[in-house]
Amino acid sequence: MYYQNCTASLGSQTRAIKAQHILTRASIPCTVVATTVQDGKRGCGYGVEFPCSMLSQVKTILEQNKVAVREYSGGDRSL
Amino acid sequence: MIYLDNAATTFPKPPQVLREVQKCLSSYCGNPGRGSHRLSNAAGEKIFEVREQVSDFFGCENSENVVFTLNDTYALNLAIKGFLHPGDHVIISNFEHNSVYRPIRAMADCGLIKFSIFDALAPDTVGQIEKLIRKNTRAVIVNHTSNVCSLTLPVEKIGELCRKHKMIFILDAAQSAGHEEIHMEKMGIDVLCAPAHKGLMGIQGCGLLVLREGLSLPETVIEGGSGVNSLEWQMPDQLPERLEAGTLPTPAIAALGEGIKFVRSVGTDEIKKHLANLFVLSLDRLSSINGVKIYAPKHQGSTLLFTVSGIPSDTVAAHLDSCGICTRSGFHCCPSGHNVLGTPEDGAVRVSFGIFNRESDTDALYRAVKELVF
Repeated sequence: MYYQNCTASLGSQTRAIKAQHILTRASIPCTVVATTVQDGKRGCGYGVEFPCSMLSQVKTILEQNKVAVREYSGGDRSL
Repeated sequence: MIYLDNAATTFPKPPQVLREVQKCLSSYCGNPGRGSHRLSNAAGEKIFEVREQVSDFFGCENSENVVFTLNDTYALNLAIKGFLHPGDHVIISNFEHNSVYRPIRAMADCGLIKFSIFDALAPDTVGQIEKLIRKNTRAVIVNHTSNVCSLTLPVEKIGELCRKHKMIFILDAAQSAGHEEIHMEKMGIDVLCAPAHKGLMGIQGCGLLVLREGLSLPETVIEGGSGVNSLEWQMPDQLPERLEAGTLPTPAIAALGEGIKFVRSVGTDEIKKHLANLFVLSLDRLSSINGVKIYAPKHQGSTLLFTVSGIPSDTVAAHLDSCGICTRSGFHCCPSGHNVLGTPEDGAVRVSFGIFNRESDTDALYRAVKELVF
């Protein structure tokens, strides 16, 4: 089964792993991924990839847990 | 061998610490925060896990504020040079280790800051500090427990004073982390610096800089690769990467995680009690030997400082080493403390206990010192 994926860009690997732990606890499937451009900042970075269908839940959960997201973007890979 | 130099580094390490280092090096020691392949991610996961352990252990709200450094000295330098600005005034104690005294002195010698020193042995610590506060006092930096003798400062009261006067409270927990209960929020600590390889039972190569949530971002002191925003000229503005330039010591961080688990399993209260018992036994026994002088004996802790009349401290330590007992002579990187205690010429012998020492070690110490005076 294929899903359209979205990415929450988080900057560091530390923050990406933190977000992954929080989302996994909330039963949202996600993976830490490397990104190259985040919110205008160039170069390496990290984010979490998750099914776009869960975007609003992800936004709410990360906000509730005070995880600052640089930007959300649509992904082109499948989980 | 009897190891009584735990203030320098604890020895031996718990078996689980050694096992984790081996596991790390053989199965998951990629470069954390660099790339996203499985080994890098596995190392990153372990480091995240230890960050969470550290923040929980020290009562820090956010694990992103846990910065791993190479050692306590690096952490203190990052804190001192990152938070102090030109024109600032800072207050330190007369028992600071050179890891605090030298960076402060270097900044003062360049005309960047001014500093005042309070007497840590005086009864009213808070009153002593309060008298030195100026309009431009930005920070108070103190050694929680001295590395020279068993003096421990009232951190909670100092934290309260710092909050009242809006000063940054930087605590050097080199000798207290793992031996004393430390809770940053409850004790009003803004910045906590500690080594991994002493009371926290990790290995050498890792230190900690833990920042209170809400504290302004410090200036960077060391710049370099961070794995984030690599095409930008500046270091990232998010913690911990802002202050973690270069590759982290993953095996040492993994070891710290197991060290903290070990300390938690025994309990800091139990550890403190055990060390105090060894201290008191040694104090009683050594005090009974003619010519032995103990320094700051009113304070109980894990570190006991003594001299033997007419015998240089190096000679005493060499004799103890020949008896299979490891201690440390000299000045212990704390010239000011030795001045205050009256041992500025020849230094003294430091005995520092650890969790694995036994009462029988104090008997052996007593016998070995007694041999010297007959």
